[in-house]
Amino acid sequence: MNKRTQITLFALTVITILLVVSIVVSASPNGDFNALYRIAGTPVTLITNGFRKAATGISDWFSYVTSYNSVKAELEELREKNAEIPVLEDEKERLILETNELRRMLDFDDYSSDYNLLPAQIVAEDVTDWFNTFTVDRGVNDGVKRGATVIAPEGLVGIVTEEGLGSSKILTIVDEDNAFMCRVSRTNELVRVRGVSNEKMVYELRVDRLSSTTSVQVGDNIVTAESGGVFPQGVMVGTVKSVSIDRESGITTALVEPAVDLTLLSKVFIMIDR
Amino acid sequence: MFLNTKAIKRFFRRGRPGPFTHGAKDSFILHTGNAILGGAEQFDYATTRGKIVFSVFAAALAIFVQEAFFNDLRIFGTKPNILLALLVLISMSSDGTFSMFLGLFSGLAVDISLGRYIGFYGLIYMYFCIITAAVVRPAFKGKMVFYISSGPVFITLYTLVEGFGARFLSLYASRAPVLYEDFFGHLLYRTLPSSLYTYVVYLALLVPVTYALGKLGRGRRKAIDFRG
Repeated sequence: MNKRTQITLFALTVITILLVVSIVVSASPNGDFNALYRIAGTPVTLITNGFRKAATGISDWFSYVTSYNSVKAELEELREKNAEIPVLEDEKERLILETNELRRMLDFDDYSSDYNLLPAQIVAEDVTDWFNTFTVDRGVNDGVKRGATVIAPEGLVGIVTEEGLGSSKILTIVDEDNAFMCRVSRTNELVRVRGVSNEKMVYELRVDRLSSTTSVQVGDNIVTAESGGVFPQGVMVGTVKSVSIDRESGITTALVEPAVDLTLLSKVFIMIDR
Repeated sequence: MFLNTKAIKRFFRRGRPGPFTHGAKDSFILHTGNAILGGAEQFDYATTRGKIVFSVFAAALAIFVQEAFFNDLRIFGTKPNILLALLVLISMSSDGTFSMFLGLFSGLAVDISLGRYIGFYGLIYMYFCIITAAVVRPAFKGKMVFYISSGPVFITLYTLVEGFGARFLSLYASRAPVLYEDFFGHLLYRTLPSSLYTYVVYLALLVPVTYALGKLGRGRRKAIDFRG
């Protein structure tokens, strides 16, 4: 074995050990590489965002060229709808006032009153979809903090796990690492929901602590519970799509389809404390 | 010159072989590959400055293009891995040490900017590139047919190893109850479609990347020899 090969093998061994240690540290609950992400993550996100915007621009330009007539018709339709906006604005103001008044009277408080919703664009996803993460274009500079809840109009999306200066990483609720308390809307039953392995490219959640007397049924809505401690109360999580009982153990489990289609998601809201 | 007119003439003079023609010398793929890639020379494995610059730039571009375009090109939930396709091609045409560092730094870039566990992609890309270079260098000798036929093997093996690594980490770090809930389902619904999709990208990149690497090789290069 010549000297060059020996040096290469030595370098390979050292690098392998360092990488394994790094994986173990970052996989442990207290592992923290956020400083590294703050330095390296933001420029990558900025460049990726630039590429994505360029791609969207090209795609939009082609769609304008190829669908001129439909764009024209849509423009006419939008002009008509615009005329109705002042009336709808008045109605909206009236409804907000009425809702706030009713909430005050009932002493009712939900998550929307405690948080500002910060809109964010998804700029990058996990390359191979194994780790259920994606990156958004908002970071510390926008007030994002680790642990902030991320939602979409349809429901719960995930949680901020790392925050860079101008970007953040989000871990979605379907990851096996996520386990949180929820309630069944119809019965108010408290259940535990957790992500399921995506080894078959199926994104779903499992309710794994159902009591033997549960009345959970297909079609029930699942929302976050007040006792979870991770997510604010009352956010839509998903809908029960199947309930099964293990004959041997007698344990009942239910599979939940997330309210948000994570494969089609492009914009989210990060909940920032007021 | 991109098109090798001599090879094209030779191809037509010999006549197009039928699908049942035996022997690599007269196979359709070899002659077509020879004709298309006529301007390229036999792969030169030596690392040159041009190769390094091209490979690093191409790997960085692959990461950005993957995020900008390929996440939206899903078919049945599967998306191709353009970086993987590129790394296979570069490793097949480079020496082991360069492949090792290219795999390591590409993987680390993915880990730090987009990944979840720092070092995961760095480790598997590094070993994948070393193994690809080690297998290809003595066996392939610049023959086009091997590059086309071995692509699915390397890509599928990588996808399997990556899946195993990801599941192992889930078991270790994410409180996953089992390694695989349904291994054959995983193979059928995830590994094979993903590998096939990546192989399509690999085929699309095969000609431009090998052509560029051939041009960027060191010194006087031999004429291409695609005959079996």
